[in-house]
Amino acid sequence: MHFEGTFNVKAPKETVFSVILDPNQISQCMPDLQKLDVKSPDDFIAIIKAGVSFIKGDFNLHFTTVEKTPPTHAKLTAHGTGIGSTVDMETIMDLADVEGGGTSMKWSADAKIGGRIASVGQRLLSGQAEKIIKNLFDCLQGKLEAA
Amino acid sequence: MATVMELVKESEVQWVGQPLKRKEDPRLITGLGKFVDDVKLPGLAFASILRSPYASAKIKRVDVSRAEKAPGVICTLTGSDVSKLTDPFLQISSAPANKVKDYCLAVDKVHFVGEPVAAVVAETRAEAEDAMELIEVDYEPEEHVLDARKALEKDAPLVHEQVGSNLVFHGKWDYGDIEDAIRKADRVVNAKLHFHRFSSTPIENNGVVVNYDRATGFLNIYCNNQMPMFCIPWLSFGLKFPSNKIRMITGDIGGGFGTKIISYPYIALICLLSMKAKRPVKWTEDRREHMFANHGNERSFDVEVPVKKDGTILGFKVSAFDDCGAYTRYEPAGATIWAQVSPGVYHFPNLKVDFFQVMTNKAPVGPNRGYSRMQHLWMIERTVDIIAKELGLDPADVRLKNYVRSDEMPYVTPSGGIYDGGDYSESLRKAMKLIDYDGLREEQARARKSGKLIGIGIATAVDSGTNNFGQVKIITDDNPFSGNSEAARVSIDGLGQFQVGLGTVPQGQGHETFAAQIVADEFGINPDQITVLSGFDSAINPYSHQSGSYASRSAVMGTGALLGATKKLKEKVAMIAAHLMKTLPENISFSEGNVVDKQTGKKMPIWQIANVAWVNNVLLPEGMEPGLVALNFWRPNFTLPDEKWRLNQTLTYSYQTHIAAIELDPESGKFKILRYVIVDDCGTQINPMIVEGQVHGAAAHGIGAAMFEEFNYDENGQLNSNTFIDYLVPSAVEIPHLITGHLEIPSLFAPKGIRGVGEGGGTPLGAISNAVEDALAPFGLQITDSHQNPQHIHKLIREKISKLNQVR
Repeated sequence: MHFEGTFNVKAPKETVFSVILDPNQISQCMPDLQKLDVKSPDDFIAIIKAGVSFIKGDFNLHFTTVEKTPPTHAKLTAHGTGIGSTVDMETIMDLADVEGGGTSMKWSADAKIGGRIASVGQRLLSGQAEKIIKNLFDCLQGKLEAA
Repeated sequence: MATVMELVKESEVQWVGQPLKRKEDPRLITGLGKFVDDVKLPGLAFASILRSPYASAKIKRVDVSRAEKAPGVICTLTGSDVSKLTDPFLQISSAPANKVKDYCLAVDKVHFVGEPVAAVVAETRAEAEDAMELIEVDYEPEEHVLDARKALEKDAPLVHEQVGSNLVFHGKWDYGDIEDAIRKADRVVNAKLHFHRFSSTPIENNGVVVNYDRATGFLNIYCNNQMPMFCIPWLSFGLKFPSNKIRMITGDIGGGFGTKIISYPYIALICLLSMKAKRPVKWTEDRREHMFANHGNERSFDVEVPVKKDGTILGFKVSAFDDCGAYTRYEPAGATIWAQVSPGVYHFPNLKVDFFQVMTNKAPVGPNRGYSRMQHLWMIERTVDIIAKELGLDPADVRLKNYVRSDEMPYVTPSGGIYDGGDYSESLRKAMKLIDYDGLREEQARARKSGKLIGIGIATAVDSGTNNFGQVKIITDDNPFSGNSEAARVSIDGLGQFQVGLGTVPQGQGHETFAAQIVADEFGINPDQITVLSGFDSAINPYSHQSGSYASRSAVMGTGALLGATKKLKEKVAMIAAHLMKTLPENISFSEGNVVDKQTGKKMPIWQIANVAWVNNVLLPEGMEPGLVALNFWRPNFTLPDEKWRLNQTLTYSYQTHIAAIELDPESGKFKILRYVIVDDCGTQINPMIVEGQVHGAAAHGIGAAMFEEFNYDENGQLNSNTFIDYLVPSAVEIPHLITGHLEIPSLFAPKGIRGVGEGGGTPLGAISNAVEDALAPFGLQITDSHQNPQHIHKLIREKISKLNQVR
């Protein structure tokens, strides 16, 4: 599944970059965060509650920052398991100045879902994933603009 | 249907041929059947299996520590335990494909979504399932391959690295001179065809209960495997456990259709769990698990057929690519089994088949009703219709022109099959009459004028039965299997009561009934007087290691074994009777529960002879051993393949002609069956009611496969159709009224002239594909897939219309 989008925030690139790469900040925008274990700024584990329809449960997601060019580019991978299922995701974020101030963030995410959720929930999967990702970036936008 | 008492009024009833109600049905329809999940033992614990979410991945770490602390958990098992405790299962392949390492749990790597990775045993199934969620597995996903042809490309990811290739088997069958036939042809018809992946969905899933008895050292295995004694080498060598302490027990089985043949990895797993838990352990597969357990072979074909203008088919040149999934459990047997019916029902003096079997990262395949032949037969039947269309001939006429004729029987096929009688033309004519073929064609023409699409599809398939395991010598001479065999025991106890034991492992086909009919005729008694043991128990039933229900063999093999046993028993009864009645054994005949001296008409009831044989044995002839028990093993005369791989691969060759008439809605691509006719010939029918049931069942199976059932994988190798929401199984509503007709031309070789009729050859797949293409004739569309779903048909129509609009 591929998702992508762009949004603008009234904050400088440097601020945006530091927020999106701060595990403590970005994890607050994840759905139903149960537990956060930060090993380093580029390596953290988040346990979230997610699922599709009646198949819901804890997902153990391991995030790693694999590319980082402050303050314009970052690439994160997330690898997770839970409720007989797996998630493998790659997210790329590119930041640029907006004329008249603020930052434009272009993002794309590729997700592979496996196991029980993929096979039973496939009809609902892309809608549900899109909702989670959209919520995450809406939350980020709100956070940045409040800051 | 007549009851026994109605039929018995006649004095000399011939029980073979009567539509007797089945002995099994009273218990099955009143809920008294005993299936594997009904087995309850003191101290029974329950297993749950963790499965791979990846199509291909390295297993970096399996951590069971949290699971083992969960409530109710008794023990866990992982791939690394299994690799220490067991040897990989036997392989039928030749080198290098025989390097596949198949264990009951994945070791180091997973190869398909759904592969078992770890198992938990707990006090309840629910606790086992909950604990399973606590097992942590770190995977490192690897590249996977999902298409047979792509899997053969040079840089394709390898399903099993140690094999060095994804190719399991490549064989060339080449008879006559196809290139010469192509040169001499008026026309060469080409087609690229694809047979889709589906399976059977028996009402009962797989199940295993193992009680490892530490006192006796016995592994007591309750299961619903279809060939339990054939599993023994796999279990014994895999588990490194002596075969004389493995007891296999089946009860009633809720359908198998082949899918319950390759369940031995699960049986081995539950054996290990019972040994580790020191408790009896039960595992009952759930429906979603069953959807990974045994898929049917997916196959694609490149076909080239030289023909004459008049519709004479000169031969077939085929490249076939068979996708057997991630493990070769019964494979590559399927890579040779299609050749049982290499020319279908036709004369193909020139036949060349280049056959590739390939592994992919999908669920492993195994036998499924019509196993390996239906793919091949569908390809032939589809191609015959394409030929008819290209030549502007009626598909019925092309068939009648090319069928093997009844006066050529027994007909030897190019690959050495010996067709054992029948009349294919008569079968088609009868079916055409039953469906009013000419009337339908007129109706079709009228309908087309008013924009309605009616299609008529014919298919005739050979339903070969009783396989010769010698066919696996084509793969490698090292395979220690050939021929086929079955065992029967017939006994008369000291009170004169008859009991029959068979090795055939019934799964609902009515073996108790047919066996009673056969034995009743031999002794001139009523089938109600004969008890046939239900189910199978290797400590009680007689068996051969080829015993089981598969390859439409049980009626034929069971009858062969039963006739041998009754012959032995009758000889002994006659000797005792002659001694007591002071006559010669050859004067003794059997009638209505008595022995009769043919010369004097003097009678003696069989129970009196039984009394002497067992307990009044001072009266026995001198030197004769007491008892009235006859055990017989029977095997047909089979040979091994010759240097060109020619051999008679099965004993019987039933056949069926199906004609489907459909109406297709071009707006939605949806179609409905208007009329459906089947004519079958399985030779002598032991019980016409059971035959009718088999014909209906096989038709429902094939119609389901043609119209509804398909396993869909996404690009990540996830099986997206593994619930009944997505994998559509037809109900009584979707299956049309079936109009049936029968021919009863006896088999030239099988006992009593009977032929197997368990599978039906997947004939509906051909009939429906052909009907859909015929309905779409105004659009000039070709059907190249065996699965006809409305979305696909709709897409074909839309594409064609937009192409036509562009031209304008």
